[in-house]
Amino acid sequence: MPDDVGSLRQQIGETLGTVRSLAEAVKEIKQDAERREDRLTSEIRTMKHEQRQSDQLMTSKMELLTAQFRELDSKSRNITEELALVKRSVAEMEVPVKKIKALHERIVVYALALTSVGGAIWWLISPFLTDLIHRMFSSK
Amino acid sequence: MTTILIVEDEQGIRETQAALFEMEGFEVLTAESATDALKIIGAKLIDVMLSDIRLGSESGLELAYMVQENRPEIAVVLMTGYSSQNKEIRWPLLMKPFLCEEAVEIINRALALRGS
Repeated sequence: MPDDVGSLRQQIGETLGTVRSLAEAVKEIKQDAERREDRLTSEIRTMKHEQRQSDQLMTSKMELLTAQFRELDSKSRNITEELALVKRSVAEMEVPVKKIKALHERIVVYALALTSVGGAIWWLISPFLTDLIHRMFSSK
Repeated sequence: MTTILIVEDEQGIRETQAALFEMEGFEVLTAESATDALKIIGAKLIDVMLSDIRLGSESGLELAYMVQENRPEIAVVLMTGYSSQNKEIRWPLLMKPFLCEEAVEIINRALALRGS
């Protein structure tokens, strides 16, 4: 009987020891799991932060590109409008320029005609004039 | 013209935001760290400081406290890419990613509060 009790106590003692070491192992596993969870949470936080940073960069760049495109578009519209104005002005100037050209041509023709007529007149009257001057000076 | 100081350690974000705020009609100054920001604040007239909460190894929050203590006339707006830890912040906060339009609205509100 006392042998049975002794062996039972020993068994209980061994079982308790096993349970304790199991509890210790579970505790360690739990602590390890907690550490891993903390590390993962921290990594996820960092990843989310980096994601938000790159989203911010993308958003800002897109906004900047859109704004620059709008500015360019507005400038090109202004240039187109100015070009249209210049074209209109050139078209409006075409008629007066043609008139001036025609007038210029007429002036050239008249000038040529006048020169020819003047030359002819001079050719006709120059002997008389020479004679007249000669006579005036010789009479003195 | 309103002068804004952008404090952001990410170069790309800092530069694009500076360009955007310039297009919005602000005079823009930039700093990549709290140390640089304090130097600029000591030398220039600033109306509003827009700072990231995390500035590498430095803290945008600490910078905000320093500015509030030494230059209370400067309106402070903070920005962050973290969703938590923001409950105790007393300054207007912009959550990344945000649009320039939202930032301008919050900045104008902060400037109006400073004025009153």
